[in-house]
Parts: sequence; structure tokens; C-alpha cells
Amino acid sequence: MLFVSICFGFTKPKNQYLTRNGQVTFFSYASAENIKAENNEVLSILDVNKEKIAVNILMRAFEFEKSLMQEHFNDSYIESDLYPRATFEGTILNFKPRLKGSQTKFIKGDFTLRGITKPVKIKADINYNDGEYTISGETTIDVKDYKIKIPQILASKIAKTVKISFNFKYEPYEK
Amino acid sequence: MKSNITLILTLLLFISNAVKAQDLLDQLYFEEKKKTVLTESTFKMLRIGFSHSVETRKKGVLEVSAYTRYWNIPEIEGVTTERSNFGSDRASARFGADYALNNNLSIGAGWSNNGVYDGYLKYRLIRQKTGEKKTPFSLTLLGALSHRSREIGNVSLSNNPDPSDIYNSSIPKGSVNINGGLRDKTNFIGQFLIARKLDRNLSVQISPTIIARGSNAFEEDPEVHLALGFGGRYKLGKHVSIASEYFYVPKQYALQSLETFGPFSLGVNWEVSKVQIQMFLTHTGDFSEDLVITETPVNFNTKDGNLFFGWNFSYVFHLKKNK
Repeated sequence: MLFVSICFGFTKPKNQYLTRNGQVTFFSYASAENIKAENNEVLSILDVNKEKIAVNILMRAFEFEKSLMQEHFNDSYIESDLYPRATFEGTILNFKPRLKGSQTKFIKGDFTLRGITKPVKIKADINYNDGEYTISGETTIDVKDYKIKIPQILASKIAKTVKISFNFKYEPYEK
Repeated sequence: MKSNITLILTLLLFISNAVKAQDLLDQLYFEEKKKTVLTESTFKMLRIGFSHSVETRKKGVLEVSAYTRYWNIPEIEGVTTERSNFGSDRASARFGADYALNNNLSIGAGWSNNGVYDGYLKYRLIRQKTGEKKTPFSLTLLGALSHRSREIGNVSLSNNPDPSDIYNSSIPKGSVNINGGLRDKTNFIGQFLIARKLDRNLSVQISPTIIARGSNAFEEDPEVHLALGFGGRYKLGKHVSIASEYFYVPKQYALQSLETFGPFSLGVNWEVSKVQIQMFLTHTGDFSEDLVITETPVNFNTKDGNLFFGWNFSYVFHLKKNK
């Protein structure tokens, strides 16, 4: 029994790649003011065999140019205390693992923000070089889909969609 | 002993197998770093009503404010002596600015239309934290000076029911020696602001306060006042909360020349984007802590002369942006 456990327990997964400092940036273009925030602590894992990718975004790690905006973001809009993270889990369609160079693929999966899960399809550039993967791309989300309420007084000044761009540099995952 | 170790090892290995079997998102949860998170938005606004909250702004933020109070003057022997057309007989205002030198230290100043200049330093010494390193409360130190350039007639108004005494120049009308020097007319206020955000909606604060007078117009008044403030905020919605505060001033530390009442306020806070508005009911038309806490001559009720409507408006400028 012990022997069996050791055999399975110490099998290192060599088909997985991880990043601990992935970049996610969001932009909201608005008549009054553009809002931009950056998060450089995004976790993401890529499983080459399963052709799957997962992303974990801590909402408190978004940094805004304006500090009061960051406070409002966490306190009144995203409610980071109730919903500390946004997640994505999806499958890379027609993925060609270990293909040297660049490939542009769709990633289909579920995006969860503020406890609300919606299916999304994101176009991404996947790069494989020197045993390391890079995945980058952008997408837009509709704030209404995730029940982010914008007060009436600001409704005309704030964009209803938010552009999200990402850039993940993966390294082989070793536990 | 040996079999115990074997058992533990087996269990551990089973757990590690279980981890491996979970999906990718679960794997990421295990990769999350344990973090210490500062508790933000305890009161969100710099004031609970008339008094300071533990909050300071982040580095480079300038907050400008206009605080106003409106009230009606009481009828004398059933006769309304005067009425203005603006819904209230009297109004007072303080215009101020608060600048955050860094995330912990702020400096502020204000001018009130009753001739009071005030300035303060506010320093966040301890911050409430959750996560790996927990701290259960926040502590902010406040040191303020309040200077009276004119006599403030609280004392004569209350102690001398004969209204004509206002025109008798031999009776001191304020609590400080208004003919003295700069030091005589400047009071010091020190506060420990201790607050805890109990949950996402409810925050409470206790504020031990010391007020040292520059001078006394009446011998029987104490040179040093002690008071204990209580405050709270309850969030009703994403942008709206109710807030209330009260200062208890023990009799022996209160003014003796004038009957005073511990100040109280109850109101609604509203904030969106860079604008913050506080509307509350109170019973003082003054602004600086020394006046509000130790020289409020009427109690809180809805009678004319006692009921003051408070309106704090502030607007935030980000002078230094991150990156």
C-alpha cells in the first residue's frame, strides 16, 4: 500500500506550466475619464496534455492610477470582500501542443466574476519557445452580465463594456 | 511509534494524490500566496459627522471640503425675531483641505466663518489587517490646533438669558481670553481614534480626546478637558451608509461657566466617484473639536435653536497618480 502511494504521489506532472505573475489589465474608455487598472500577480496554469488553461485573478491586486478609484472598485463595485477572485477555466480549441513558434487559437470556457459564471470564447496568441509558453490576448466583458451596478448619476460617463487584456508567461510547473 | 510514522506518511501521500486528482482551478488555489490584507473603507470618509474618523487618504490625494450647518433661531416670547428666506435663519461654514503626504500621514487646515482657523496632523499608527498577520483594530493619532481670531459668544448666550447682555462689552462672551496673545486664543486637541470594521457593513470607533485650552476667560473653567467619543457607520447600500457619533464629557472636565452638552449627530453618508456628501442632524453650528466637544450649549432635540442640519461636502483630487 505504501509502495503504491509513493509511486503515484511522487509522479511529477511534466505536462503542466504555471505563472505566478501573469498580467491582466482592464480599460474602460469613457467620456469623462478613462479607467485603467493593472494586476501583475495573476495565477495561471496550462495543462498541455488536457489542452486546458485555468486563471485565478485576485481582485484586490488590481492597481489603479487613482487610489480612491481602487477603493471604490473593491468596496462598491466588485465587492472584493465577498468575491475575492475572478476565475477562468477553459479548453484551447484545436491546440497543437509543443508546436514551436506562434499559433492563434480560441479558448472556450467559463469566466466567473462576482460569483456569476458566463461562457466566454477568447482569441489568444500562444507561443512556445525554449520550453516555455506565452499566452496573450484580449476580450471584452459587459459589466451588466456580472451585475456590476453603476449609479445612475455616472451611467452616462462610464462605459458599459470593459476591455480586458492578458499576458501570461508560463514556466514548467514543479511542485 | 514506527507504525505511527508509517500511517502518517501513508495519509500524507494519499492527500497529495488527492490534490493531484483535482482540477486546474483547485491547483491554483493551492498556489495562492498567503497574504496580509489591509482592511479598507472602515468609514470611507474622513469624518464621521463633525469629528474625525480613522480614515486618511492615500498618498498624493487632496480632499477639499465645504462643511455647512443650518439652523433656525428660537422665538423669544412667542415672537419670531427674524427669518431669512433660505429655509433657515442662520448658517455657518468651514472650508478646508486635507492632503495625504503618504498613505499614513495627512495634513489638513480649515477656516470657519466664525473666525476659527484650524490645522491638524493625522497619522495612522496601526491598521486593521486580515489574512496571515491579523490586527483586530485601527489606531489613528490626531493632533490639532484651533485658533480663534474673534470672540465666540457661546457663553454669554447661554448664561445670561438677557439678550441685551450681548451688547455689554464688560462681560466676556467667549471661553478664552480673546484680548490675549496668539497662544491664549489657540486650543490644542489630541485624539486617539480607535476603530474596528466588525463586518463589511458595520464599523465602530472610540475616540479618547484631550483638549488643552490656551487660556480661560472664566477662572472656574478647567484648563484641560477630557472626553470620550463613540462613533459608528452602517452601510446600507453600495454607496450609502448611516453614521452617528456622540462625545461624552465628564462633568468635572467640562466647562463650569456654561452648561454644555456632549455633541451628537445622526445622518446619512453618500459617496460616488470623487464626491462625498454627508447629511446629518446635530445640535451645534461649530466645526473645530474644541468648540463642538466642550462648548455646545444646547441639547439635541428638534426645537428651533437646538436642531442643526449638517451638510459636509468634499471632493477629491488625485495630485499624484500611481505609475
